Amino acid sequence: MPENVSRAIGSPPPQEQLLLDVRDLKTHIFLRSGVVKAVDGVSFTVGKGESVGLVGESGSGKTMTCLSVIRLMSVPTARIVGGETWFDGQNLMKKTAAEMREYRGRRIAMIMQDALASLNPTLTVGDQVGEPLRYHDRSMPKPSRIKRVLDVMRAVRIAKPDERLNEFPHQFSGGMRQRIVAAMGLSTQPGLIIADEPTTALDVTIQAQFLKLMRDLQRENGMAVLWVTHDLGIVAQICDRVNVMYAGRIVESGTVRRLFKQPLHPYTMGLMASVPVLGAKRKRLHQIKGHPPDLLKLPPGCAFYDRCPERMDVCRQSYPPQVSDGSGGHVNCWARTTPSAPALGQA
Amino acid sequence: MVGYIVGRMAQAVLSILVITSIVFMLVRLTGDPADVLVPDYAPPAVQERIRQQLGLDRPLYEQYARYIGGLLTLDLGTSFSGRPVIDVLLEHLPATLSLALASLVVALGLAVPLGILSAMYQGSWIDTVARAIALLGQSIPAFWLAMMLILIFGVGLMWLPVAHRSGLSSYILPAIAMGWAPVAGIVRLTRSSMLEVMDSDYIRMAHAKGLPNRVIYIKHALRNAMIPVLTFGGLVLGGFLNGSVVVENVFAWPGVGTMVLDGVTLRDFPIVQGCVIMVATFFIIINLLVDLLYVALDPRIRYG
Amino acid sequence: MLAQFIYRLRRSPIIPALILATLVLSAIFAPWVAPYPPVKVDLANAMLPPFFQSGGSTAHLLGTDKVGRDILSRVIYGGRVSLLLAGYVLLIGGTLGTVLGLVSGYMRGKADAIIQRGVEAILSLPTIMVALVFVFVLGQSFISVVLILCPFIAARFARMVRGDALHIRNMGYVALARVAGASHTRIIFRHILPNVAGTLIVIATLEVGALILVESSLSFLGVGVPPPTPAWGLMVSDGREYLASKYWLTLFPGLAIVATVLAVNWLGDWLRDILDPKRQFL
Repeated sequence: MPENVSRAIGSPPPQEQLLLDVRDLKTHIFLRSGVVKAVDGVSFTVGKGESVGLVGESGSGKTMTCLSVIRLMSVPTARIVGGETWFDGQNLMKKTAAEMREYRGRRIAMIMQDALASLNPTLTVGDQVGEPLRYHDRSMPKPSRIKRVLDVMRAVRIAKPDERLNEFPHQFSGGMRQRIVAAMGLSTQPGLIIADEPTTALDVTIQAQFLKLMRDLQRENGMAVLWVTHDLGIVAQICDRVNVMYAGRIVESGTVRRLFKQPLHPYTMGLMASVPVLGAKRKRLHQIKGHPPDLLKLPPGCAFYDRCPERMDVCRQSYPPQVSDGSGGHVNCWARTTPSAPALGQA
Repeated sequence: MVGYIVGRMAQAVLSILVITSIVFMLVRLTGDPADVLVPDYAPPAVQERIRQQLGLDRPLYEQYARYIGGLLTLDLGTSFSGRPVIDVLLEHLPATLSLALASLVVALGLAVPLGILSAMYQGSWIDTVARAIALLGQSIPAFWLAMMLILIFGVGLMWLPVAHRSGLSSYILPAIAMGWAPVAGIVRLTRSSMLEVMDSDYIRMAHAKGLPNRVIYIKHALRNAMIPVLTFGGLVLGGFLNGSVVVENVFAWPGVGTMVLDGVTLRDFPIVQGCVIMVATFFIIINLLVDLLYVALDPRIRYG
Repeated sequence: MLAQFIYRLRRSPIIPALILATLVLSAIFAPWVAPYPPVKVDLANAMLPPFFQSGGSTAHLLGTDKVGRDILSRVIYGGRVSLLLAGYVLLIGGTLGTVLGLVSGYMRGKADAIIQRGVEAILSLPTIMVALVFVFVLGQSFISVVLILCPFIAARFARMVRGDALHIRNMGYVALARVAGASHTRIIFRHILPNVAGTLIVIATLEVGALILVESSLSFLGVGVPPPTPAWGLMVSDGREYLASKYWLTLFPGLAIVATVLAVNWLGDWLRDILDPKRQFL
């Protein structure tokens, strides 16, 4: 049921509208060579029906964060070592494996990056789209289920779905496959969809179509979406609020409007500047100096230190505290911590 | 596609021809069979008669030509015991084939579940135990295992028959003795295949969909993981022709292995030649079928 | 707790290394280790059971066979035969196979095609059956068994080495050497071979086990090393008729085979794990 979201779009949702509340999440990967702190104290929220972005480059920990929310580890030696994840008033960390399975695919759906790889090549598309329904709602008789599958395939604009039910993934184009994966997520009408780089493998026109589709569906179904991407363009088009991740931590968050108009963290500023603007007179593409940090050897202070044009000594020594941005978001940067904007402490 | 099959078959025929020729030459180097067939005290004239009868006095190239010619009509010559080789062959073939199939069932039945468990509980004690069993299987010679099985189950406990082919229960011990050897390889392959599959994105997707574990492992993972295992199974079947020589000997099983052993002992050229040709042909056919099976199982190759 | 211990045990190569060391050392120093010469016939003491059974004596720890030869000594000397045979076959067959593999993988073209064809043909033959026939051709002797098993080992080596060579020849340093004008032979021996060494060791350990099994199967069938030289397979075969009553004739040589092959395979597994470049997690 689509809910009437009557609040200012942009500020973090009040308690009763809160769907996902991630608090100080920490996930570490244990390797022979050391410990990788893939997710190192991440906190953010997603309200009902909201569209929130999680931005960062590869290796920043965004995918790990998503997987940690649904407690699915992609690597055998990864473990959630701290923090809590509250979904619709329930603490997911306290759930048993069987209970988590109830959430996955039914109340929280995840769409992953490479659609072709996400689909089992030896099973038909109809079979795979119908699976969440089949195993989460066992009372549904087969004909109703097939009807629902066809409905959702139509909703994602796949032509002649009844003819294509029994075909295999490799018989579809890239764009269609992405929509099939979206259909898989939508079939159970989840409250939250986590979309991990769903458009990376698509070319620009298809990408635009897909984003529009998702926006329409979101409006129709009242779903919340967590968009995980490295592409600021997508964020600008489709998100209400954004979180910027770097080296396993969220360094800035805020409304899309505020972030694009006035980015606060030097990393965010660098990202914005790197996006080429049509018609601008700049000759060379802006590049953030240096390269992403080695997650095995993170410094005690700010991880962006080596590449930061505004760095100070204190940045190297201790991690910057959280500072409010005045409209519900925050930034973690010593250069933005002034006497008139005192540190907030843990949100 | 058709071209590929035809090409492979042509290759196969060539290989068979080459192997036959090699065997032909070498078997004749093992010595004069007349010595074995005729007692020492017989006069040389009798030996000469025998040789004539068996066609051994003819020049080598003539014998060769005769033989190759015969092959084309599936006439593998006549055994020195008087019977046509092809008849003897067909008589012994079913015993070996049925045993090989039974052994494959044993091997897969034992190894595949072990491999799956090993992959599912990777790193735990179950994995260790499974791999230890596999290691053990690789290290026990078939003939010794056969004898120990006979000792324990046949003589000691008297549960199962220990010799000759005589009904379903007589298959059990020989099938275990022969099927045990490839278990290690199959366990390893199943395990690594499952691990590789379980690491793939669509399995993670299946997890993200909240599907029950049973469904993920059996419906999704197994389907894909089994493809290389089944093709390996085909090769294993071929390998059983090898093991049959030993196992049939221990269990007095009337199969091709026994036939070869007897043939070699009696220097019965045609029998030995016939056996080797048949075995080589079998191997090649199995390899061909395995290739085709692979294509059949993977829908991507069909449409792509 | 127990599980942890067993896990650790399985991981470390201590046990197989010890077993192997015992076997190899006792094989080398057989004349000093074995209590009796293996062919010493002693009809008065024939068919003695092992020392822990009634009728046995500590003079013959594992009992005696039907003509009074000491089982323990024969097992030790049999080890000598098996290991020596395996050693020769690995040396000759392995060298041949490595050379063929290197040539095939590096040179490619016509040579590769021919060698490949040959290797595939040999690999598709049933080892025991063919060996059976051939030993009869060449007559039964130590040399003939070595010779007949060489092609099979060579084929296996050739295939693996070829795979490696194909991979390595594309590496940067090989291209550099070629640009610098090094001859093919030099490249093969100075650059490719050392990098293949790791694989060679792994294959060798894996194949030794199979080799010993084949050799003992052949001597079981009566076409292995000729008597009176003791060979494990032959001893098992000798004891066949008395399987139920005089079990020690077949049990101990069989155990020897199992122990040796087990140790070798275990060690090979461990080596393979260590050398596996993909090994990243604990």
